Amino acid sequence: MDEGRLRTEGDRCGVRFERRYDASPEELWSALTEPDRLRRWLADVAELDLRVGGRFLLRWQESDGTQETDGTILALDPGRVIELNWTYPGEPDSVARFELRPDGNGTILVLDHRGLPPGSIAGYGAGWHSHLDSLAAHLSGGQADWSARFQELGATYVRQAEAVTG
Amino acid sequence: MSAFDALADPTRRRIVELVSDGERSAGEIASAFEISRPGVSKHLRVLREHGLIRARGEGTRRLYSLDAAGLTEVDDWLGRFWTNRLDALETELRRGQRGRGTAQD
Repeated sequence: MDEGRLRTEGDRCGVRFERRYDASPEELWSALTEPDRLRRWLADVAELDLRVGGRFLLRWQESDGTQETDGTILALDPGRVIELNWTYPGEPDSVARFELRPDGNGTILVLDHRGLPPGSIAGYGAGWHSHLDSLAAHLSGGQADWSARFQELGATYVRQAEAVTG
Repeated sequence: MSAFDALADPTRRRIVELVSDGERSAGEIASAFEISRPGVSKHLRVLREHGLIRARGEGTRRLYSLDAAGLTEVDDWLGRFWTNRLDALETELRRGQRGRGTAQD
């Protein structure tokens, strides 16, 4: 099931994805943690000090400036788990956790982003979904149109957000 | 149908991109597509109904421009982070198209 599941937790929300990629855990870990590779599917600029407490930065170039999220690595189990403290101005801090486990000759990636405000949950659902699609394209040597996919997915996640937040 | 459903269609997304560059007449919009003029009119109506574009009459022409109302609805669900990401990419996309257009001229 490629679609993410939105949920509420008190006054915050979360979104969870479980994806299988035709790549080894080592290959997927490299795509998730090496700045040069993160630039291919996630952000225009990526910096990562790969240790617990280390800083990370993701930046997207805009015509009228840049937008970025930065924070620290909260948990790290190389090849298996990386958890990020996700900060963005105007939003409460949230936590994005990536977990990998081997599955035959592929790897299952579980992405769980929790502590999100209800008013941005559909965005995180559609946004991550489209990025995880871009990751699949990157792993198979291709490229995806993140923006077009994001817009295609938006309606689905708005409906899911309406359903879970009541 | 939400504003986002209206934007799920690639032709309608392209129309929104066109008018976000500036006001366009129905004819100008139609000439950007291979589908029939009535087909384009139908898309324009859907976009208007969802507050994504606005229309005004000028003589015999109808001019269309971007409407912030529908985009605000989208923003309310996406949050600032993703709306900004979308704006950035949309802007880049449009600039890329203009760049290519100029190079061919």
